[in-house]
Amino acid sequence: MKVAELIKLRSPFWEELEDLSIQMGGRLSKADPECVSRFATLYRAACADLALAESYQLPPQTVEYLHRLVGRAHNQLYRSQSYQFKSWTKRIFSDTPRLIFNDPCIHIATILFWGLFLIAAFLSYNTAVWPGFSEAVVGVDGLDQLRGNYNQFGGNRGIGSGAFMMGYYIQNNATIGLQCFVMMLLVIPGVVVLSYNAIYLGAVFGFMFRHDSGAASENFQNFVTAHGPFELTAIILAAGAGLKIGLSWMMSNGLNRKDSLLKTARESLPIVMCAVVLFILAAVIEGFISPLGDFPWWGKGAVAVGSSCLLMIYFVVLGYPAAWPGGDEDGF
Amino acid sequence: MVRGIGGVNRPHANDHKGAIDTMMLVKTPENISFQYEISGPFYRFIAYLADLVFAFGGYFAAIGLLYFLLIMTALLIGSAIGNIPQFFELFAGVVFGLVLVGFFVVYWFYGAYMETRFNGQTLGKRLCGIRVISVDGHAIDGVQATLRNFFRFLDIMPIVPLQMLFGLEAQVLFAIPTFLIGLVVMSLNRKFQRVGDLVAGTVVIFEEKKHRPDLIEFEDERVPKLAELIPADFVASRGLTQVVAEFAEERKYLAPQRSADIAKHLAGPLMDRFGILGNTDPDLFMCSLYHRLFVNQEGREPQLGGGKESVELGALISGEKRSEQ
Repeated sequence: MKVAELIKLRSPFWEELEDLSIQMGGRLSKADPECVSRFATLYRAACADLALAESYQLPPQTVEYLHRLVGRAHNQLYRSQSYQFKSWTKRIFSDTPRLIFNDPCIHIATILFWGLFLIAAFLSYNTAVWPGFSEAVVGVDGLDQLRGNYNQFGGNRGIGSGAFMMGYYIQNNATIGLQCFVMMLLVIPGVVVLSYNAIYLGAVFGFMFRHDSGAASENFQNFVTAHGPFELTAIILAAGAGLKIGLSWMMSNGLNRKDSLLKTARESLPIVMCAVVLFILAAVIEGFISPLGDFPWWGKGAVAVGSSCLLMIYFVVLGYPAAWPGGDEDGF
Repeated sequence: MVRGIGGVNRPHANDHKGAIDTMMLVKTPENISFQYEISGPFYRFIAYLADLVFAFGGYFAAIGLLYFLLIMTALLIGSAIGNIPQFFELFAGVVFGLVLVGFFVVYWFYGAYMETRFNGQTLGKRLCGIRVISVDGHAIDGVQATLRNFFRFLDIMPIVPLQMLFGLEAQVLFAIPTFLIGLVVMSLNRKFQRVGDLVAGTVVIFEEKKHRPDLIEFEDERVPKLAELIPADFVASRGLTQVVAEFAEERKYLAPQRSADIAKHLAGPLMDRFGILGNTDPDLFMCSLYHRLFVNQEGREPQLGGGKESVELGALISGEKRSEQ
């Protein structure tokens, strides 16, 4: 058969496939079943034409056209899966806590954060060991401002300002968490962000817990108690998930560096999403419960204990590895 | 170069082409290999700007609407209760809280949602005719879409504060993302993957519609006449057919002298073989060869495409002829 005749014979099918690709650009599930079936047939025919293009001796431009056509149709036929909420229950309540409980990177991030936090808090609290530590970290103006803020604390905020503050905390804290996660890909910037946050927070805590802070100290304790567990855990989770990705391409455990990165990134995403959820929960508490001046301190303590218990249940009870089916690490 | 007879898949040849032309080879479940053209930074930047306009345009429009509704309800309900300021304060907090949460959601999740929902395309990408796919050619899933959009934060680094550039004493910190990390990383790999793409295992490809090229028709009347002089039993090898087609497609970009220069190396020996006078224009001869091979094929033998056997036979014949030359 002549090439010209062959092209003439096939062109209508190619054009039909092209039209169908455009038609189905919206949603495959909404398309007419007959249409989909026809589309698949045409796609296979175009694939066959492309495969035999060399035998048919088609000119290069026509081959290039076929590549594009098949590529477009391929993208319409094999589409991205939408979110499958059914599988999420298992992922949220079984896979992720186990991953978090067993992950060495999260342990490292926890130790790093709490270690630096406690050291900074001690240095800031005990003025004898390193005089001027808190001033060096937060700055004299910053400390004055802090004290000033918490001196006038106690007014009963309305729902409106609570909602506003909640929005602010979600935006601010979750963004910092995600940025820390992303920076951890290069490890050093991420560790700097995490350490800076740990030392800064530690210095503030140490300073505010000093007895010379007066009423501000009491107000500060009153304010931070309730949302502390969720917020600090969230920072650690975000940093730990990032550290996992950052270390994966440095220590690839026998895999190709790129593959190791891809695999670990996929594993880390649920952890960082967990951190985002914790940031949001913390923001809700921080916006609505923490600022309540006339709310008794033991009530806020109870919120803190309750949220810590929830975290414990999630990480330890749901995450304990003995519950693994088969008991091996194929979950990774 | 030795080539398998009848071999359709020539991975080396395709790899080689991919290396030069930023093509990506995908093997489908139908066991077909086809190519995608990989999109470079320029189109992607345009798509990103368009997305910023769409996402934040929509965001600010929503804020405007919310603000309008806020004032209207505050006036309506507030006047009904008889206390506008108090009511306003209550709802303003809710509205501005939503505005902040909305910013967070749009900034971090717009791309992830769009790319999952619309099969690897955001609005900007659709406008630019590009699409995100996995490196293995499959559609991307939600995890990949989320990861590649999270890691954009690293790609836009370093962020230079305006104060640094102009020494402004501004209260609000305006900063310009320079996209340098993304650009450098993209230029370091074959598939133009930025950091987010490397982490998620994705590639951005072109997907615009390409017009089906027609076979070339030559206006010169001498072309069909000269084509008749080519012997009816002449069967061109694959290599020759391809060379002739590429020459015919490219010659419109060449000056006549240049195209004759290129043509004479192949046309000379062939014209000798066919007994065509040597003073014939080699460019014209190549055109008539194209005409003979693709448009008006006079050959009697069952040409390729008539069945597998004939394909192999044709290849064998042409292979022998080539070795004779």
